[in-house]
Amino acid sequence: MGDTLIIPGRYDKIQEACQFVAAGAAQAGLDDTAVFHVELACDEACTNVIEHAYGAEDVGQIRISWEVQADRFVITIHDNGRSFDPDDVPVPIPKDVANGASDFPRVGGLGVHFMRKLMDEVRYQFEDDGNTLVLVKVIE
Amino acid sequence: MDTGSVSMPLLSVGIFLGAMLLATYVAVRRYRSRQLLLARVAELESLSEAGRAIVEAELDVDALCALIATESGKVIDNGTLQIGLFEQSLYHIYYWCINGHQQPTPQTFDLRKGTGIVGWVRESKQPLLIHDFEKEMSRLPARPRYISDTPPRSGIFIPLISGEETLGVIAAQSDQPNRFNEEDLRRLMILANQAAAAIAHARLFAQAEKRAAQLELVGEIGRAIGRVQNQDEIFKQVVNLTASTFGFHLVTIFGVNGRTDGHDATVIMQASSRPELMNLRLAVASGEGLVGTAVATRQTVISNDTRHDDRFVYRWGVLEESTCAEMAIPLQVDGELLGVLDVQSPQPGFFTSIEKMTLETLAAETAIAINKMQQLARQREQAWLTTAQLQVAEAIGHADSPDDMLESVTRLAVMLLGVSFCATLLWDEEAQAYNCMTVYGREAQTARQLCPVRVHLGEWPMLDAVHECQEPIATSRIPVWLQTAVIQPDDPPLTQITIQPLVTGQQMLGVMLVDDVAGMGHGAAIFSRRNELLQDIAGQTARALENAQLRAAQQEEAWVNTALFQVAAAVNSLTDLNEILSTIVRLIPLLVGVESAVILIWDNMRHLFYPGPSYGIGEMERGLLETLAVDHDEMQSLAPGLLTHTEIATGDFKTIGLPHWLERVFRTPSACAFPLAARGELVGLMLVGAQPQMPHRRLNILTGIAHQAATAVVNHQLYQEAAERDRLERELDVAREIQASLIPHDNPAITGCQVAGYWQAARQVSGDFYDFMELSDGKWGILIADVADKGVPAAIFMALSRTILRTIAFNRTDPANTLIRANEIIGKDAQSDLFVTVFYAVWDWHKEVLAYANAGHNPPLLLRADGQVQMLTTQGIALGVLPQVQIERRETVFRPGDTLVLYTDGVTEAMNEDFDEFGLDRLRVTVEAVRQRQPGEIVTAVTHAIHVHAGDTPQFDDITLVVMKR
Amino acid sequence: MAIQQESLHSDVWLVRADGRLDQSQTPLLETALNQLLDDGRTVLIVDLSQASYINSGGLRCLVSAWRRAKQQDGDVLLCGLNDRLQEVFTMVGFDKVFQIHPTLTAAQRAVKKGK
Repeated sequence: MGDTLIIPGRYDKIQEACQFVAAGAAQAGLDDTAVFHVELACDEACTNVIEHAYGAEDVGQIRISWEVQADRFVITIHDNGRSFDPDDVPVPIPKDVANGASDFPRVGGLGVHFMRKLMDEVRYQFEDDGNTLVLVKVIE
Repeated sequence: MDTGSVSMPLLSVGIFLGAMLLATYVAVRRYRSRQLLLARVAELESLSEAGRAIVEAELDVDALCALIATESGKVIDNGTLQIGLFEQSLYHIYYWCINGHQQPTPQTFDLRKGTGIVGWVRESKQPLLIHDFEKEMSRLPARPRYISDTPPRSGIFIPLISGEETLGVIAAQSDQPNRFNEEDLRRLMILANQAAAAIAHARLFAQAEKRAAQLELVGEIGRAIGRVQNQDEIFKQVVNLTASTFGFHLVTIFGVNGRTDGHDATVIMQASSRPELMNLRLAVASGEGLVGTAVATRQTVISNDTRHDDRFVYRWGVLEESTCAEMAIPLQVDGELLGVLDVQSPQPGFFTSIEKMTLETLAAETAIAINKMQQLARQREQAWLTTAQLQVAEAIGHADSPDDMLESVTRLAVMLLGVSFCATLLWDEEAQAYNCMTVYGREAQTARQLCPVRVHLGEWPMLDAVHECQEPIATSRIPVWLQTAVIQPDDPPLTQITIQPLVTGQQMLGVMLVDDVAGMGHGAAIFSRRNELLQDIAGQTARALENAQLRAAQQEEAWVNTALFQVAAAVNSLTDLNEILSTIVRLIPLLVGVESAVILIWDNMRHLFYPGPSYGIGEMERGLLETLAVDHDEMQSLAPGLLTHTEIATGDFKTIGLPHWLERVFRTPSACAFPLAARGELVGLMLVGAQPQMPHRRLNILTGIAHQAATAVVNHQLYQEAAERDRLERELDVAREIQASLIPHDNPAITGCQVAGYWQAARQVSGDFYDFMELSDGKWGILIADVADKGVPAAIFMALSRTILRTIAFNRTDPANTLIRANEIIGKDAQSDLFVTVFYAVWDWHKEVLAYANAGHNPPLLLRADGQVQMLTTQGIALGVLPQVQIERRETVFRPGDTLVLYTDGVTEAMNEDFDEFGLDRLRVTVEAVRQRQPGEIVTAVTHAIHVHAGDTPQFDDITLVVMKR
Repeated sequence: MAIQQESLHSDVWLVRADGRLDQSQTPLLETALNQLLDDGRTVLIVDLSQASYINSGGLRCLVSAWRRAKQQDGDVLLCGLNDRLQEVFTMVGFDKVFQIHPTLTAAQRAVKKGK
């Protein structure tokens, strides 16, 4: 059981993605609270992508897919933006090394905290073509 | 004592006298009958025998008198016979028979109460014969004393004379008158002489025996004393034994108080047969009386008749009466005067040289015994002192903490010193005051705590004095607080206390207060020992305190070092900055004991601190931190100056009051902020929830940790920078390679001319390029271009432009057309504001014509064979600026011997250190000089010239050259 | 999303936020709150009874306002949270940060008592 949705990287599109995932969660058998959690987590994840992977709206797309693996509801969110690790403590390099000041925006914050609290598993992967975020909610 | 030597002359005298008398008598009584003579001889023989018997008799006075009485009986009627001996003023009767009845003997009569005939006989040394008392009473030289109920009628009194002395009297009486005649007298006289001799011997012998016995007793006393452990016992034994042995009626031992000038003797022990004579509180000054004289002169002083001796000092009437002779013997050992032994006797003249010797021996033994005793006492005292010191040392060693130690020592001090209280105060350098740590009172079972009484300098002058001079002071000025705290309501107030400093080296650590040790004890010696003990206690305590403080400081230092080492180890073992900072932050509470800590990272872009790893911060608090971040301005206002140091030193920290929301985060109203600086710039901030009174040493650890954190951040930065550089380098390398591949590898063989090119990027990537293109119709295109700007984007643009130009040029013969068309595409495709200047020429070998167009590029140099120099200028702007451009087409012939030089800015603008550009002129001149040569050589010459010109100045711009020649 | 604000008695201002407090809508609330705080209105009640959803962005907005209010000795009180919203606050512990009241009236009473 699973599905995929691609949305443009825009704040006003996030709700759509969230509802998409929520529907899937309901389908997978998660209770209302769990569905709400999934929805919120997706919101945070997509927000992070726009803010940090892309740095702005309308820079790229976000691919959201969900599937059921045994007793786990797995959400995968993929972007083509700059790699970021929300767990990082990225230290701003005070001097310019490369041409064009490197802006290491601060990820993390409440949103990451939310995701960790809401979902049972949160994993990041960095590939050449962007970031992949995997969120897992255990189906009880 | 040789009895023989004394008796012999007397015996011979006696015999001689006897012989003389005999001879006289014989001569006088010549006409008497031979029987009478024989009778006389027999009588004399028997007298001699009697005399011999007497002389040879046992030398016991009693027995002797009895013998004399018996022998006398052979001469006279001894029914009432009395033999007595004199002693001083006393008359002892050793044999007494009245009418045949033995009287108990000895009996003593005091002659001072009336001497009677016996006294007269003693004095006169004459015998007395009384035929009839009644008739001769008036003529008697002395009044008889009646010693029986029936007064005697006749009597005979014979003195016993030895030498000059009347030893005694033989007295016979009868109730019959005329019982005794001159012959009786004569005979008794003979007997008396011998008897006197014998008695004298006996007496001497008895005296000798007595001496021996006395010395034996002295020896015994000495031995007895030696066995005694107790000084008082010694004295008691001495006086008692001495009194009983020698029969003194008063024996006194005086002790001497040691003072350097003059001594006083005070009674230590007395014994007497008559208690009323004793006076234990007597004190005698040096020089006063016999005792005082003995003290002053250190010699035995004897007065054999104290009644008439000025030196005799009496205090009681009784003693005056009783004592007639006195001897005072100093007790000395090794030149040290210990005391005086004083003996008094009622007998005047008692103290002969023998007595002196005997008692001096006794005195010596006593002195030795006392000395041993004192030595023992001193040893015991020393042992006690040492034990006390050991006890203190043990208490100090067993104590768990300095406070514990002070308590033990204070308690011990009270017990060991026998004082009524002890208080220990410690010096507080910061407060400049003494804090009372502990008090113990002897009476109280529980300690009365004075803490936290604090005495500042200036409050108690005596304490200040001790503080200054670091010496103990005894004072009677006792502050009220001490009085009330230490003394129970019923106790008498403290009169004097000693302030004993606890000092090591030059440093005052504290003081101990005790009530005055001088007031305790039994005398000077003991006082000094107690003082010694107090000093020792103070010394040990001070040293222990110092050690404890040093230990604490060392431990603290060791702890700090260990803590920092742990942090360093953690930092070094990890490479991920996040992990490092998390570890650091996790270690902080363990090492420093704060509750919460967070590392804030400075974001230069957004000008705020956002939270990094934290510890001890709850979820909500973390959420708040994450959400709100700390503004630079906010931090500025919290800790003004902390962030604006020109050189932020990690280690300067400030305690800041937290705004409300941060107070929520830390759950304390204030925090310590440690800036983290690296390479002179602010990198972050370490915030630690502050506790009240955070020990200064703990802050050292935090400072050290801040250093570590800063280092970790710096390392991370450096690493990232290096990585970034590496990455960029690699990228650039790739870009360069790509670029290089786009530049013609070698100079192609173009029909009708030779070409040479040179391409030198200033940095890894270049914005210049040149190209040789074989066009579709066999013509050749020669192109040089310069992308504005540098770096990777320019390089990319360069590649792009080259490709476009190549593509477009292929089918076109009109160079202007090529450029115009290229511009359209470049302008549309390019995403940035880059543009490229291009000079493009098409070589038609058949017509020997160069058609060319220039889009804003440096006009090439054309050197004709005849030496003319031309600049090929045309109208046209760089490609990529406008969507549509006008570019002019020109053409020129190109004949053998002509040289065309295409170049970019890097050639003409190559600068030397004087900022002097290479310039077109130098280019021209350089080329002119070598125009005959091959293009390759010309290129070399130009580049060489450029290098020469530029010198050490680094190449600023790309240098690209193309030389074309026929 | 709609934001309404009105002044209650004695310098207490009410802001009602309806709808979804998410990335696209929260800026409106942020503006309103900041404006009030700029004007020195330091005691604010935010009525969320008509708010259906809030994400971290919305939370951040409220917390920022709270901080600013606290800096000026004021406060931000919330009321009318539904279960979902309450759960979100509880999850991050922010329910201990704000005074959260069930109704507007309760919030008003609390403000009065606090005075």
